[in-house]
Amino acid sequence: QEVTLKFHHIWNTQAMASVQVIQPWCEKIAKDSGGKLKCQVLPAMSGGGTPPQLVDRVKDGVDDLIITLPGYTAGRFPAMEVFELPFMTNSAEAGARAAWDYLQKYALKEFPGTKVLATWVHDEGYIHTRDKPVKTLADFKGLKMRAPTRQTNKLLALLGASPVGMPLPAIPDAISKGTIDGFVLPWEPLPSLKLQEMVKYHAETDPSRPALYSAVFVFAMNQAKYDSLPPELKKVIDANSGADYSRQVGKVWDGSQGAARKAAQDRGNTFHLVPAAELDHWVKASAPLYDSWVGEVTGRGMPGAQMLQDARDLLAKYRTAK
Amino acid sequence: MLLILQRLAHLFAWLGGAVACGVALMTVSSVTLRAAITQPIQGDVELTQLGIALSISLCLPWAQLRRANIIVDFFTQRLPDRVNHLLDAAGALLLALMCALLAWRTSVGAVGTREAFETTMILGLPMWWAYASLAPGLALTALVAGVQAQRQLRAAADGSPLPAQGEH
Amino acid sequence: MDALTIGLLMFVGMLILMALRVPIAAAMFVPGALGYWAMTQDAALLNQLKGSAVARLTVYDLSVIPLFLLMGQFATQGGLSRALFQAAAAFVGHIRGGLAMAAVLSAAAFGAVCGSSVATSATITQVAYPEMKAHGYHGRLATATLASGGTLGILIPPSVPLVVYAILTEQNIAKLFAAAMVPGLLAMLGYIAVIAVVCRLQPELASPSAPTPWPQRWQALLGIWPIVVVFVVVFGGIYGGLFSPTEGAAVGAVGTFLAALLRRELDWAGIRRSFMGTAETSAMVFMIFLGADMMNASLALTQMPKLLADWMVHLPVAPLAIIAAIMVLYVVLGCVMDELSMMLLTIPVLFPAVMGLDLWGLNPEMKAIWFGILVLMTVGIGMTAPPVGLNVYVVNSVAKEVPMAETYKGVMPFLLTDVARTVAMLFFPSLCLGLITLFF
Ligand code: NA
Ligand code: NA
Repeated sequence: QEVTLKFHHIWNTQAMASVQVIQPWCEKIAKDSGGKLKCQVLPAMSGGGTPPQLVDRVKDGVDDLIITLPGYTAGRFPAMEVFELPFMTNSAEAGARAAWDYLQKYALKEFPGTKVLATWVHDEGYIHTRDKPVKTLADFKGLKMRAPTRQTNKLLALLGASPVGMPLPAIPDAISKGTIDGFVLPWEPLPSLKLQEMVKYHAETDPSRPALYSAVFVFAMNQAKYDSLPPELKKVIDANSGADYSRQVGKVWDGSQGAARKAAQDRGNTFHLVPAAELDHWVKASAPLYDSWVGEVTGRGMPGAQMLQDARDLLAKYRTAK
Repeated sequence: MLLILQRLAHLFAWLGGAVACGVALMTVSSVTLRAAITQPIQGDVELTQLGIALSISLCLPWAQLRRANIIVDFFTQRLPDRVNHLLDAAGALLLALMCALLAWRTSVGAVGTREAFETTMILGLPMWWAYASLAPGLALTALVAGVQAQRQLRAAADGSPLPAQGEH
Repeated sequence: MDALTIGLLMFVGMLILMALRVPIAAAMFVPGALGYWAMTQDAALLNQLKGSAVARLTVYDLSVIPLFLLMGQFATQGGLSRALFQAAAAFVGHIRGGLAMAAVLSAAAFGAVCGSSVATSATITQVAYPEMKAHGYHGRLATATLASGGTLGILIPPSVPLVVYAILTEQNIAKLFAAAMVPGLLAMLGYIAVIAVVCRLQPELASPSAPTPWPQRWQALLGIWPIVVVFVVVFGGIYGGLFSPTEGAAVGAVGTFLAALLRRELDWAGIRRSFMGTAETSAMVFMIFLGADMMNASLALTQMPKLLADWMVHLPVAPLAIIAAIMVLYVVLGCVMDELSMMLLTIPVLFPAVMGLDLWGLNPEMKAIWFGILVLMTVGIGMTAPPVGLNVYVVNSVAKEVPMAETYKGVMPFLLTDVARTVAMLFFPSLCLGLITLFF
């Protein structure tokens, strides 16, 4: 019989994730199942609740499929947070592959009642400012910056900026009035909020060093819903999830940079590449974050130091394999 | 019974107002510090979100006690008071049901969030506090509405006139 | 039963319950919950409800509502509103409807710092209603003015619905705000014109006073300097980038409290009344939100708004007629739905289709902005149109002695100007796009 899966997520229908990930995935499973599997997509949280509640909604079977950021629910996925530490990932693709392997080894128990179909990270996060460029560590001093995750908040404070908390949709108004001086984000969400029209300076980091920051995504299904599917439909889901699929989505995020970056170039915005030598100071300044993450995770009975090392090894492995 | 609920609702509303004032003062301090020494109060947005949510939940029982929850009386104006009492009893009962359901489910949500160790992003405050803090206000609202329904039924039997808004 | 039938039953059930004196919140919640339960298996409804109270009450954008209400209460209990309206009466009290016009102007000024129409109507009503009553204004005119004036909270930037539209359609919020400027001012002028005409036709609605001599006018003006200071601080702070609009609400509340203390009129009893008044109105508003949330989650599952929108954009008529039909759909939906959810459930379908139409030869960005302003206009209409007009509810919760039917009657001429303005925007996109070409 036909099965309709409620697919609840955070993006609007034009967003890159909707067009290049969610829609194609739904079309693919419909095709592979001969029309027996269908999505009912509920974009932009229209099914109710908040983005942090998505993990509970999929676990409880309110939604069948969700994509969310474990980082929304601080403290709940301590293991996966390792990829949100500064200066870890180099590309979304390598990050996705490393995150998938790491998830299998350490983090599956963080998702009870949930079948994780894929996990990935976004491409490199950069610094975008309104009135003055950020070139050295000293330039952070006194900047009011909006940060997207728990770790980036701590990072910005360590670098000398003062982190300002606000939801993503509040950024355009805040930056255009100067309530904040800048923010850290990867390229992809900038055009969707027209942020390239509200800042002038973009500081990118030398590609020989890992990304200033990244955030983890999880694509998950309600376990009971999966278990209730007949074997041939389970196979369809299996074929459209897992390590290879995660890698594929990572690639989509890597590919998202170009268009967004070009929009900023076309505006005549100023770009600065922070050189490796300068970045090394930043890495040094952010060192306390690793210790505090290891401490936290160890405190919850996990081999923190080992996990951090494994994450780094996996990232290195897939980086060289690229 | 109603007298105790009345006192409690009044106390809750006081607390709600005090919490809202606290949020306002905290925000003003944060804004001032940010302007003066570029160092706002950490987690001010979170505190606002949690504080205002708590404040509103504490205000709910008082609003119900004062019959401030809006009803449309246009279509039933011509009906006898007795019928209107019965309708009000049914309305209060449905509102009691809604609030009781929300209070119960929010408490269950609190347990789940606690077991998941969820915290707020910046301050790392336990997220289950946010859930748990909303339950008392919702539960008291359900109680108030339940007692009101019972009184409306009695009034329907007695044939007493309809109370105006703002009366218990 | 298929989802569409369930959706239809939910609407009908809601309207029946509303007509039968069931509190609006429960009248939305109960059919919504039953519909949700009918459409899902197992405990989905119960699990959906685990997070819904937290989800709605912690929305940062809505945190302004209790804060602005508190500000309005402090202003009223501290005698600031009275001073403000004494000054207004001194200058315009001899004009027919002068105080109502002053109320519209204050709503517009308040709308320039507050992005929510509910917060605007609640605050302005607390401030202005007692004064209009004291000056002998008829309840119908007073409440209708305040309910309609409250929509200036969203029609004049900043505006929460426009922010939602900008996010859903990936548009520049600064340009949308600029585009809303002229329509917002037109709305204000339209409301003032309505008051002038209504007061001429029905002089018994407002009684003008004798003109105040100029020396007394200046003296009355002196009395309002604390309000002016608070307003300048909030306005300057928001537009000067010192704080965000939400933070501005907190600054306004604290500033008004201090100003009221300065006048030595705010005592313990006044503070108590401020708290209780704030409690009543903010709880009433959020209770409706809690009910509407349940309704909306169910409506999203029925896909009814989506299917309606889909059908609409494929009508075989001229592009402009489709846009007009969409506006009508929004006005109709807005009568029974909460406006933000209405956008959330339909814009994702409508927007891409609208972008595919040729409309006045506009380029995609201008088309998107123009359509956004049109949507904003209809959202404004939905806030005061019966039977679910949130602004009317808010005003009536403060002005308890005025029957809601009276307010709706009074709102009609204001709604006429809303419709006229929307039609004007439809035919003259330059009314909203002109400023953008100037600024950007
Ligand atoms: Na506004
Ligand atoms: Na409406």
